[in-house]
Amino acid sequence: MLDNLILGFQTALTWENLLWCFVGVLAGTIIGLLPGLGSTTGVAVLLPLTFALEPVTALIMLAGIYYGAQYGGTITSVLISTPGEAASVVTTLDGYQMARRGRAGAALAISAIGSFIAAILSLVLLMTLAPPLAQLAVGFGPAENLAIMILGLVIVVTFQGGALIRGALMAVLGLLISTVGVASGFSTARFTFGEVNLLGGIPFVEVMIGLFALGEVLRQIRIGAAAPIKARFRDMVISRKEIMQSAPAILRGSGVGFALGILPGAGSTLASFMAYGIERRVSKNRADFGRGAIEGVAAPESANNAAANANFVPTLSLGIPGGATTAVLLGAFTIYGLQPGPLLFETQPELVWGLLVSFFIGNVLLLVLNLPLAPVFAQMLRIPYGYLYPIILLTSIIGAYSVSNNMFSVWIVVVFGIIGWIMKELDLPVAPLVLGLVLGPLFEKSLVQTSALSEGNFGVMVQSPAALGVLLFAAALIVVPPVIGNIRKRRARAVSDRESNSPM
Amino acid sequence: MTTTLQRYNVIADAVLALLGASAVYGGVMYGLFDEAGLVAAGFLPAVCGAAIVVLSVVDLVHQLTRRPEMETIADEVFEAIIHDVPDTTDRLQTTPELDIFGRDQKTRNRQLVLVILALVISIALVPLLGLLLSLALLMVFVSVVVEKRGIISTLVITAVTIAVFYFIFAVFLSVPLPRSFLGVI
Repeated sequence: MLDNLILGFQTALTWENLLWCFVGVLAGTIIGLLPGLGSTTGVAVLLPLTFALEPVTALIMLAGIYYGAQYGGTITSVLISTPGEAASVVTTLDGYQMARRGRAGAALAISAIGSFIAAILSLVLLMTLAPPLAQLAVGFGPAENLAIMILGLVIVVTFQGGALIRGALMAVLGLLISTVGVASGFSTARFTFGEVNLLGGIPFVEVMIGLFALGEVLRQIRIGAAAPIKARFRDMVISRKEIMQSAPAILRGSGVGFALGILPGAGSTLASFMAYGIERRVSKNRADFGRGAIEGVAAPESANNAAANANFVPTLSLGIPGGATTAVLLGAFTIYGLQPGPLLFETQPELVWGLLVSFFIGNVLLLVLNLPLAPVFAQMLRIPYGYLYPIILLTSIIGAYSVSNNMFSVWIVVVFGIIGWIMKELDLPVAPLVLGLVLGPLFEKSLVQTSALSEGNFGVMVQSPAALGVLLFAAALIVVPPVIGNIRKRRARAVSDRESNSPM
Repeated sequence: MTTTLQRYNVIADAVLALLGASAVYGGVMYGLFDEAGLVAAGFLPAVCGAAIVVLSVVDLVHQLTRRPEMETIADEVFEAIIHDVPDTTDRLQTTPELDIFGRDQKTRNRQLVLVILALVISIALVPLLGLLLSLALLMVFVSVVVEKRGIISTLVITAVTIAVFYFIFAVFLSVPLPRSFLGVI
């Protein structure tokens, strides 16, 4: 462990990597706070810019965008009640109320401090847990891998919020889209309709740019712009009492965030909601929740940062993305010729540990940047969206072209941009589709291998105790919540019936 | 749910069901299993297609009968957390009828259609004008016609943006950007 850490510091502390880490976290903060841009969009759009860099440097920068956006997303939640990221939605409840009472600076300061502490705690856990998990996963066969991928899809469907059926529909659609082209192990070209560009499959990064960048721009045009609240430098002063009041919330939020973020497919959103919910139950200040309680900002912000880091546990050790942004990062790994998964720790220790150590450095940079400079960043909210989105459009198009120097990529962006916009309008979840698309090739590979090893008998899935356990857990995630929900509703109905029947 | 949104959801479900059925047909054509009884190229598309048909029909029934959806863990959590938060009506941003520029929903819808059309046309013009010139025209059109920005500031911002893109992609990343038929840029 110590040797690996030293190796990581040696890699991360080169001038080039430090510079790109800084560029990444700065870009991430700005991307996170600008309406219509989130970490997934940022990583997808800026991915082509990293092609000239070494893989480790490129990944350090891209990861910097990811966790930098978690900090930036808070600024919009607090100042304009418009979360830059889904994970910051719950922060609007108390953050915006604090801003309306002239405490915007304190809300931003505690979220920066909470995010930093959560990031550092979760990184220690990430560094401790990921390598042994990777070692365990090295022994997994195709059946176990297939079971884990099924679990990942089930988690993203059940944890994303919204309708279960529609989430499942999108996950399966993602899997179907991934079957376009010639799959490894087969010679048949599927659903290519004679288009040579489709033989290699529907390009992943272009789909992401379309769904997240263009789709979001189109949605924002329809929504329209809202006016921000001002945050001043002198408001950034946070009292000792407020810090003491927030400390337990930060610790609890970090724990909840890490525990949920570690599950493959579970996003930061649920973590932030859970942390907020727990805080509302246990806080001494619970009566103020929804009216500007500082713990209502500290807990979810700590949770979403811890979850963002924990997302890297399944991504790095199993090769299964923890969320939408890590799915794009997973795509970046393959573009740089790296195979994410359990062997990465053995074959690329310099890259993995350099990347993990860069998270520490990046979070220190973010704290230094965000604590005093949040009001400066907030000024960017004053840039009219009318100036901003044409630049996003251009970056998306030119970025997509440069992925494979092909206009076909640009058309893919346009098609999936329109699909992404329609999905947002119809409230169809994007995250399950992305995970299905990313996992598709691996899923089919494991499916074919399992079929070959078991001579076509999928009963092998339930003969492996590990695979069976994972599948049972996945089944429980689907079955248990509706059952509990029904029981809860029946009880509530029985209580209300009893109350209405009782004599006055 | 509004009737219009419900109607669009029904159309989306119907399109997805059709797509799923096509995938099942395609999968069967590619072959579900090989001679040895092992999974073949058509297996996954067919299974996904069948699942899409079933799920979209179930969703369609939900849309038409307005029956409540099956709840997920996330729903349980969200509901439990949010349901009794004090009612601060402006706590979440809802789509305002007029945005800060005073545009109503109809105007914004028109802007959206214009942007999509401009995007498609500018990309179609790339073989003729080259990538950078087409994108410059797109930016000018969106800023001046759609967003009603001043022409001078738009031209300055467009020139700077295109210069930055040229430097990053053509010079720094050596991306061979498509040039116009005259070969200028």
